[in-house]
Amino acid sequence: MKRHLLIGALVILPLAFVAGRMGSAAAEDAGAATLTQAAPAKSTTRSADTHRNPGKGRSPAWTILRKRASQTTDELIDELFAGGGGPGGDMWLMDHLLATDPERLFKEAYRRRVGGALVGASRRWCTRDPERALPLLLGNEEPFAWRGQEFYDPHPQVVFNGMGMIDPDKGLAMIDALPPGQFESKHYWSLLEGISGTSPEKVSGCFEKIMATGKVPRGEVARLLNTYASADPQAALAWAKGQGDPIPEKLIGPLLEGMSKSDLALAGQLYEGLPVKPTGLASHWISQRMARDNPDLDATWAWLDRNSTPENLQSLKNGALALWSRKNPEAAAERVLANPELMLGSGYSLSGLIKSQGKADEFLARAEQLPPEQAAAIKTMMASVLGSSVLPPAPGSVGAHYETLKLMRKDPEKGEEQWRSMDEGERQKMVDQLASRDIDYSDPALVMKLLVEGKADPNAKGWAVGLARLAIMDSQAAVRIAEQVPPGKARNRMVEAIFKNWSVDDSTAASAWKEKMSAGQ
Amino acid sequence: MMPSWKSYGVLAAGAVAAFAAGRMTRDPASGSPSSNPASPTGKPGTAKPGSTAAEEDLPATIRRLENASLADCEALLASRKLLDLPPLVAEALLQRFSELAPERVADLLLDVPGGGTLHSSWRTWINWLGKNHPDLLRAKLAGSSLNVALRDSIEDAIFFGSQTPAMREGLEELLGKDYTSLEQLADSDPDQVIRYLAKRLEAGESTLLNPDLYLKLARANPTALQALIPLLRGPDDQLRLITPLAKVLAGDDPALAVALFDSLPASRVRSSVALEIADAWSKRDPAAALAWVQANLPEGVARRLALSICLSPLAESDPMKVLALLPREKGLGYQQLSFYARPSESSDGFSTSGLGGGAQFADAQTVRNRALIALVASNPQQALEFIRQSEKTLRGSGGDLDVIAKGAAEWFDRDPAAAMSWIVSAGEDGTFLSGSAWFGKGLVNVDPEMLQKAAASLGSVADPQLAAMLTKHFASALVLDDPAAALRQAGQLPEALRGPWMNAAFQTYAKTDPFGAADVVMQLPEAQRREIHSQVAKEWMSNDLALAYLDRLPPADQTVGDYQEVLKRGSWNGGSLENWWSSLGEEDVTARAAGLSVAADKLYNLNSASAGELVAQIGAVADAELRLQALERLVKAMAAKDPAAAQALADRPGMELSEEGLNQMRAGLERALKEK
Repeated sequence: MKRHLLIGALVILPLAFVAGRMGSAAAEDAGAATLTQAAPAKSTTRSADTHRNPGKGRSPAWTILRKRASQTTDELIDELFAGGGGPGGDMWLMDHLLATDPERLFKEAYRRRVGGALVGASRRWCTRDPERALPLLLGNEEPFAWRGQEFYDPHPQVVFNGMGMIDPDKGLAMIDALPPGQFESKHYWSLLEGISGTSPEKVSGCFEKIMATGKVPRGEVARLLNTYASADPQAALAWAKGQGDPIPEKLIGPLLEGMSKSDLALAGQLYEGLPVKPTGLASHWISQRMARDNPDLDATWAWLDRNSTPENLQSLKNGALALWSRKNPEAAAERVLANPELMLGSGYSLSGLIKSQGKADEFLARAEQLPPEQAAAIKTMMASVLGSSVLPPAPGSVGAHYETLKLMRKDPEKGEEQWRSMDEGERQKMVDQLASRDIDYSDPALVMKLLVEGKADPNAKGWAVGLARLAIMDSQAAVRIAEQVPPGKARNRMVEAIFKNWSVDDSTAASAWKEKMSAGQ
Repeated sequence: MMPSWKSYGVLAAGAVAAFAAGRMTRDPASGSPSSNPASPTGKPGTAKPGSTAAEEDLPATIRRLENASLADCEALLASRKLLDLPPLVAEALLQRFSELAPERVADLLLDVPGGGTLHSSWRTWINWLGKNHPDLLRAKLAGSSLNVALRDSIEDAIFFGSQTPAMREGLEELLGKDYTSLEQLADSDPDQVIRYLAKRLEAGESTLLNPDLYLKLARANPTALQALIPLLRGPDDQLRLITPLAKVLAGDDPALAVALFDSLPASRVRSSVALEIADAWSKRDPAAALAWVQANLPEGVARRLALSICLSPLAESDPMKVLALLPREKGLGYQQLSFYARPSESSDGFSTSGLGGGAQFADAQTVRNRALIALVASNPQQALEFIRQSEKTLRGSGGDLDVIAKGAAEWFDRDPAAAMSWIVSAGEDGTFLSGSAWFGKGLVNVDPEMLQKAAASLGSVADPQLAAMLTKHFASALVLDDPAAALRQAGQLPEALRGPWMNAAFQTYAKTDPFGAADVVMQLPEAQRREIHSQVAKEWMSNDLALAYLDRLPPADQTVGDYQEVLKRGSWNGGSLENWWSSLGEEDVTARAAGLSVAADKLYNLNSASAGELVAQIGAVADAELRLQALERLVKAMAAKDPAAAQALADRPGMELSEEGLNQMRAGLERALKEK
């Protein structure tokens, strides 16, 4: 019945639109596994309530929302940590827990020693609710205060961007009042970032106050200036000019990088007027900005011609083309059709564009006229958006042999047949690819079977890796294979690979076997 | 004390509760932010104004929203912002608006200050609009002065929206590339996902999903998931699928997971199942879980981990049992069960490779360490016995004694007098403990008042070595919390300990804040200041920090000698000397004179300044002796690169120098040129 639910309906998978995904679903469960194997009785009962039919045409988002609304804090925390504590499926889960039971959340994060979740939760909290979060995270009460001291102890991170958004002065006062053990000059930067997002007009005043504290190390000034310039280009320029004439080299780059976001024309002009171009990313950011804002790509390219170093020129131009194509897809498609080789520099974003503009066939035909190497590279790029049917694996290639392995596992009889039908040379090639690990297949038993049958060189790395993986699943099978290998360096390596993995689960047996093998040498 | 509950506390909760009960009107919600005074130091969780109502009513609210009319939705929002609502309600509201009036989604999102930073699913919804209603976003772009970041996000959403896979593509193909969709489908239709996995496995492919996705599937339908086990042919797939399954089964009933354990051959995945059993069972019946582990797992890392899971609940209540059953072992290596050792591809060694097991448990070492710290707290006498009996080999870094030292340090937070007399009574072992770096780390968390109390009794410590160690650690810990108090404390110490106290305090303080350190020193009497400045220059701080410290001092306290001391050191990091030099202003005459006299040659060679500039600056140095030293250095450096210019400079330096010095310099240059 799930089938009826999905077929024909536009199944919107809400919350999943990270790239705006949507699919019309054609569920095919005809060949699905029979899911009837007996399992302990109790667990079968749980299916009933999670399988509520969301109703025809109803977004499955409601199933999820309803479920979340009735889950206990414990269950929600389990959901959060199951995904490593990062922003998994439900982006708002962390916020929900921070709002309802932060104490529990932090306790669990420490108990489970999940550093990523601690960093994520503390940063998120400082951003979303700084007035509540900061005093607790900087205070002395469990579970918020960090008690570990080792670098590997998971620890929370404090940021002041949230404070910058709601109350810059208070944020600055908080930073200045931090005891030396907690003060870090980078807090000024996160504060300034927060201010620049919501009240750029206040950045100038705050920057001056920060500099007046005298607590900003020289290396940190550049980063602050970057943010300053992105919010208030004129004031930042005036300040930088006050630092020396000409503006010191270590300041000019960050100044222009920030300025590219707030006053592109001025940034481009200043950059162009510099007798010595700064190192760093200023020209990158300026040209990226131009590519976004200026519909005339040639103007951006011309600016790059005048201002980029020769070694960076082509990659900057390619980057500009890719970015420009987003807002000018028709013009970009025309340009790439006329010059198919442009795709080689700008990569996959252009192959997607060609596809979405419906020009794939025409483009592939034009690409055929390029030198064979370029044409092949372009085909590979197009295959990533059009599917592998554009580019079936060449006979004898790693891809073709991978397909053979899949068949051997799916249908051993047919697979065996295909394996036998290969000529001797090709079979050997496939074995060599497995032995050298050019093919990395997930089923170690199958891989080892082929290596043994194909009499692959026992010194090849595929042996030891395959046996290490097999030892994890079935130590006796791995042992049987290694015992057939004549003593020597290659076998020692295999023994070590098996021993290292087996001993995790049974060190007594593994050690005894290893001893037996070294005695047999 | 009432916690500071952000606006969605009292305010929104009341409104949401009313909405859930179906009596929402357009009236503003009862309560106001001012009725909930902010109290930033409040403890969380002690009271949750209003949230109780919201939590109770959350399921009802969501159910009502699912069928709410546009007017209902607007009423729930009333005059509030999206951010004022509880996150789950905000999400449901956006969902409902997306169905009824997508333009309201666009309005609400663009109303969030700072865009995607503040609202967690902001980007998700912007992208949804970009895909489904790009025109709504285009209208927003056209009509306003959005900041650059916001504009970029919106333009990107429109662009990526146009790039999504075409609708006609089948579900399976979509799912193969699209992890997020799969994850959402696992929530809404887990059986569908399990069938899809079965198909992939049958086709000879690996599934390699994240364990969290399997966890969702296992919760939804463990029977169906368990049926996939015979299809798994690789260790990676096995661990990723079976471990979360075991977690769910063990949570339901340990006997179910034990049945799964018994059905598997001895393997890594079976060990992983054992850990899940140990974890779930020990929460209900630690003794039974412990007995099962002891009876069923052979020796090895897996058993040790399983034991530590079972013993973890006892670490504080029965530390001696934990210490007995979890001996400290070195050389067992790779304690993480979810990794496997694979022969390294490039060398003869082994490296570990991820297998993505599900479990994250406290390892044996951590549990043992907790037991050691608990032992010091609960039975210090027994802890001393333990130390005396421990083997000397366990005294290495991170060993038992380090951990006990940390426990001893934490004791100072509770009862400094008792901790002090304990460590003194421990004799040689006490000296050893106080020398441990872990002792210092433990002290960092001690209340400054307690530290001051402990420091006040340092004079009565008879053993000079112990006294010195304690002095060092107390000073370092106190200065991080309260620099002024740390300084005052020095005055109250016996003469012999004052120097070491100040030394330790400053080394620690200056590492975090050289400017602050300089400011604090300026409050001291002059003689003491001079001594500290000179120690800073000699050895107390690293190059950069020492220069920052000296720069911060008022001119009267700056001396050429101190600067020279720092500048004469080796090991300058790339750029740090030049950066310092270029940061000097007109007024920094002392720093400049010292810099030229010691490093004119370096500055010249680093191209920090041209020869002409340097000559001009040297000419401006007031002290004749320093002028000569600087010029000598410069001339020597120039001789290597540009002999003619060096000669010209030596002939006519253009500044006042003693005849004798000049002659000496010229003779030196002549020798250098000849050698060349």
